Amino acid sequence: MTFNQLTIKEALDALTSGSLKIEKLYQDLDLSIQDKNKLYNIYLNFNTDAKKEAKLLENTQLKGLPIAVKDNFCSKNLPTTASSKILENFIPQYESTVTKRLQKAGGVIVGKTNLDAWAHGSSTETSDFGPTLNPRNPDHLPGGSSGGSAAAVAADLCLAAIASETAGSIRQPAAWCGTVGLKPSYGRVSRFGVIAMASSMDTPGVISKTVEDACLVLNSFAGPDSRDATCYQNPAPDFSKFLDQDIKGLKIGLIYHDLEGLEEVNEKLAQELAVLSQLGAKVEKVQALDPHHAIAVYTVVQRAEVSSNLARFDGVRYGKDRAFFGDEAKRRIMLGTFILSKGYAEQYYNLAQKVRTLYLNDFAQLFKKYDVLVSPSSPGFAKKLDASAGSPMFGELEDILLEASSISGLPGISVPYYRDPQSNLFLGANFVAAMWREDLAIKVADAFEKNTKWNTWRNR
Amino acid sequence: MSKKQVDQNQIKDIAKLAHIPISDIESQQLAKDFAKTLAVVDQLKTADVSRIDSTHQVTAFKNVTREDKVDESLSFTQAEALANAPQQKDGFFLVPKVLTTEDN
Repeated sequence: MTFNQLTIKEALDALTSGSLKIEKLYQDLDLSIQDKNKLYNIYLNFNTDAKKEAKLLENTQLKGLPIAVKDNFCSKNLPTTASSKILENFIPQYESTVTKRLQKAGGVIVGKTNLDAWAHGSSTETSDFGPTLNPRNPDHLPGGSSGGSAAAVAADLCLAAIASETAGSIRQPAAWCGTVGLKPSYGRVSRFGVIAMASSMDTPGVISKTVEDACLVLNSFAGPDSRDATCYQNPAPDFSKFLDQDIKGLKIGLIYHDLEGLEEVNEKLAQELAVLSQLGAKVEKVQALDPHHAIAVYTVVQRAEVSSNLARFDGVRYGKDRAFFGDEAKRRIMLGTFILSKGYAEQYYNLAQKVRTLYLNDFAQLFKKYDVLVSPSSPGFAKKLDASAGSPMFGELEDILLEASSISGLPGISVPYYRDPQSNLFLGANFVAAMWREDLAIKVADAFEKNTKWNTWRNR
Repeated sequence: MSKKQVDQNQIKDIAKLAHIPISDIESQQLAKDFAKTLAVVDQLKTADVSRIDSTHQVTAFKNVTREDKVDESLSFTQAEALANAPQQKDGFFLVPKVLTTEDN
């Protein structure tokens, strides 16, 4: 075993006890990166000072540990491309709140990871710099948009990764790559310095090896920020407090259990959830609002907000001109422009925002009775390379089980619940809680992870 | 269910509004992609939303303001502001010409 294969918790313990020197961890990491990065196309750019920075951070919370960062977080003096040709040569003059706080807590940016261009997609295949391959099985996609971050974790090319989600972009790639993905409540984490996609849903979060690691990393940057007016003003809790808790008496609702085409993934999930009953939780099937309309709501709201947010790329102040947008971005900007135009805004945009309310109302009802809701994160295993070609709705359809909670702003965590022995591909379970109740999702996800055999790092 | 079609001329108008240069071949493809996406989006019309309000943001926070004070740390220096400009002159961004006269 090499030291880059450690979890955040293991590495912190080893550094504290003196059994590990940070230089050694970076040596192992460098070798793995040389070995695998080109093969899988994970990092687009590296921070060449990473090791030097890490050596000075011994007495910090994260002790100089190497963290991968999705390339839509602005990092001062490091290229930030959003995987787009337009921003190919863009060097931000300021730091995103997330990466600034991460660094202050002693996390070191190893490099910037590939994503679907502008985070438009669920495959990394819309990246202007080529797709990332799934390190679990390189014939398959890593998912997206945070596919590079999920792959970096799965391939041990970092100890944890920063990612962002609008509707599925943390949890779906986390599921496909056999890692943990934590999407906090909308507003729990500042969006300042994240290249905006759909501002009413964009949420920074973590992709990690364990639930515990996700909490340790989220602790470094969650909480109010005067630079993002949509941030929750209450201080964020210490998320690691919710680990190793008794889940006895918690009520867990299994949703989307009767959706067509999901028989296999749902059957496996129901089997695995038995462990939560053994731990004293009450697990039962419950009917949630059909998620199909959430695809349409998300599509309308996302396209509308994209057309507005991407209007700033004029090729005058920074970046190349609008002729350099890739096909997917063009499609989304133009559909959003259409949806917001006179005569169609009422028909599409306003209607979608009303249907969005139906989902919020439905979740409000469900959370009166249940502490946590659970379903598969994705309808199936990671798809093969080229799966998204010719399908303008690929991502939306792949994220059908995540969109309803995303448009409602809810926190969720995806943890592995099955590994196929033939393909080496994983399924992830999505634990969702009410707004600001990350504590409940973490408690249940952590208990599930520690009492099942599917986490690669806990069961090596 | 009504099938919403957007023809190539409409696509070209939308492209103009969105400032996206597109070719004839692209406008054909985009018309097809629009149809596929709108087929999914049109399903919304089957939802019953009578007496339902719109949700534009999920946190329900209202009137979040800050003191009206200059924060130097949020401001760029001129050099920083221009650092990524493709073209600049005398400390300004150089922008494409938008007005023409008969002489040029």
